[in-house]
Amino acid sequence: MEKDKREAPEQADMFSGNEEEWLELEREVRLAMPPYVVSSPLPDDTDRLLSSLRPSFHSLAEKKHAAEQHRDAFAWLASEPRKDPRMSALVKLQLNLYSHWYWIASFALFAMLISAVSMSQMGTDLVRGAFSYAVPLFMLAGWLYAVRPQDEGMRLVEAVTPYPPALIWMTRTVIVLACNLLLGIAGSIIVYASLNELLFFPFLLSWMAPTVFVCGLLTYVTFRLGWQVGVAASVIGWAVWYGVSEAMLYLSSQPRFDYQALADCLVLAAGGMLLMAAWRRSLACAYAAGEEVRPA
Amino acid sequence: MIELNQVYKARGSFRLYVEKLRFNTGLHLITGPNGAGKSTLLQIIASADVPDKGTVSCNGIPYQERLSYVRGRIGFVPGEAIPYEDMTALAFLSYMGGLKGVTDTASHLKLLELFGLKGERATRVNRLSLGYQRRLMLAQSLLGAPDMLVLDEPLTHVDGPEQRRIIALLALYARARTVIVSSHEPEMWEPNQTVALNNGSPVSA
Repeated sequence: MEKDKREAPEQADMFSGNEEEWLELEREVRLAMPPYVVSSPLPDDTDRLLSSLRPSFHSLAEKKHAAEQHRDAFAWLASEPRKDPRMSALVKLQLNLYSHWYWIASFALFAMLISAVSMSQMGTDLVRGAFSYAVPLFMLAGWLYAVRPQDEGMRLVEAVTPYPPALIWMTRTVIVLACNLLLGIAGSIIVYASLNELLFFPFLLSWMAPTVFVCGLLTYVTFRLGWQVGVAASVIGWAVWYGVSEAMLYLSSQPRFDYQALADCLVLAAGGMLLMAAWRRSLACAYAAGEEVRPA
Repeated sequence: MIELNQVYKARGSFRLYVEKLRFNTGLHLITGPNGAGKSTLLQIIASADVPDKGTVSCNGIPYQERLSYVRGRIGFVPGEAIPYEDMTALAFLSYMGGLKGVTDTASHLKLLELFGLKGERATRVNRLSLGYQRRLMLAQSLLGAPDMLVLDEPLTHVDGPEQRRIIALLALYARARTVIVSSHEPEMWEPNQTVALNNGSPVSA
């Protein structure tokens, strides 16, 4: 500390020279070192510099762009914004899946059924029987065509999309059911118009109940145990209903109560509940072949 | 990045077990003899099947937590899959594009062109050769440029020159994304990683 105090006045003496001496010193330095004295750049100088660098900038930008393009040559595929899954879009897509032959075949089968019933002068019980056996059969055949359960490859491909795999099956099932119900109702109106003694609503119930029941059983069991078991269960369910229906028909011949209509109502309700349960299950975004939902 | 942790799957007498496996950006090849478990592993990676035990995650997100999101980012081609036969090539791509939320017809046409199918856009699938059907199946897997491509034997039925073109195309795609393929002909590929399977488990390649 003492040493510092001694040196401070000496340094003050050294820098306290005459201002003229300082200016002289500066002149000498300027004369001695002209190449090293830098003048301020003019605007023209800046323009020239930028012009000379511009090609290099362009080249660098092109190289960067080319590198990005080279890195992701498929960026054009990703540029389109994706649409979120929507039920209406799924229904529209699934409707496109049905070839025109499916619709032609469906119309033709119902036309044949209506013609056979109308032209053969059947009794009302036989008319009810014909519809109640034929419509569930049409529905089952349509399901096997439309859902294409045997096509495992496409099932796997469709599973890896944002839509739950079972929901795709459920949508196709509902389309098939709706098609058969609509054609059945149209056919019922035509048959009702041609057969005066037929009671419309019991007749409607007689074929609608087994159709909805078979469809509900098929879908519900398919989502739990696979489509083969689902088809087997629906056929067995149909056969059981056939037996019960015959028994109810016999009991209904007694004048006390219309057991047939009661059985139809119960079967229709059971089918509706099975379909609702299957629908709820189909909304789970589960795996295609997993344990939670098994559409195959 | 896809990560498998202690994945176990039983199918009849067959058992698949993967202790730990990671797929980063790049081309990955899965090899092995018939019955080694390649298709089962690919189905699990593609989220088309669920492991009995263990987890599969995509960028750290377990599949079961955001399955719909994950599935929207995977393109998958199973080993034996034929597009719907009564559809035309373009209708099939439009159908699959609809399921994936990619509805721009221009991109469907570009994909057909990329796989040499532009001239077959109006041809029904059942009139296409098996090689063309396979190419169409590959084209659908690229819809929306998914982050991950999972392809089981992508070159089946495809002829020689087209095989080389598809390999080059997939290698280019793998520069920015994850591509996992299985093949009986590993010598044709130049992968970043090779996973050899035997009896349902990876062996050192």
